[in-house]
Amino acid sequence: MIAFTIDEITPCLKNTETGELVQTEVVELKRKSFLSRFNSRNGWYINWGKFASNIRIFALVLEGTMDIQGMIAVSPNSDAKALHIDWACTAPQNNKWQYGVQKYSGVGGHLIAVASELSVMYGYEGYVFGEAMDEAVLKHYMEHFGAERLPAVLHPYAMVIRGEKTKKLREVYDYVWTDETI
Amino acid sequence: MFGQTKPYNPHQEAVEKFVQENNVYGPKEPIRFNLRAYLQYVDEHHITNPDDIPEEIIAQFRTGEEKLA
Repeated sequence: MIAFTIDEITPCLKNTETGELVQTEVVELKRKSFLSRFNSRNGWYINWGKFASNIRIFALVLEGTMDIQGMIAVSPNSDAKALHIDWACTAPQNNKWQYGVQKYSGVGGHLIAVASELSVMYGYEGYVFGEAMDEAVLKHYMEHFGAERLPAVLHPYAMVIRGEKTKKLREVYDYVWTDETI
Repeated sequence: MFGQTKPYNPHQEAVEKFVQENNVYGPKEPIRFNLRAYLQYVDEHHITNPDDIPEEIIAQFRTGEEKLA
């Protein structure tokens, strides 16, 4: 489920108080005991350690740290020839819907860009699909990012963003893939 | 405690509803759908709303065992 809208398209994250731009890195998270620290009790909606083994999880962190600003769970789908976004959300400190605060803006766009880049790596040309949290989130992606609603038989808020539409996101966002996994 | 209620939070409610209705954690069965063929069909027929597509056409894009069901 995609539980955010894209607020700003900026190459870096922006501190909403100071305006400072900060560089980011992407780290793959594998260790279940580490992932289980992120759960509904501390603002991450679900227990991230419970995902099945075929789902890959990536964290967007501040450069040189493990200060996680958002996470995305994805799985390649060979039938769809697209990357499925299983879950994506910002860190609680950036979740203004849920907590009324937002330390950094730009997290959502980074996560969709990460997903589309992974799609390219899998040979899916940047196509990503998934389920929006609700009608409002779905319409946000349709109006601003060219998402297309998919048949309701898949999910009431299922959507796809074609590769040519995610290309812009891949070009704008600037983050570093790390070789490290945790 | 009597009389205490959770504050209304449509965001959290939507998340909880999604978790209840979907197999969030798995074991994860991939969605069996030929997305690319579907998109090609949508383009060729200038379709903007998937609700306009007949169910039997949608069924053609299902793949795997789901298509046989």
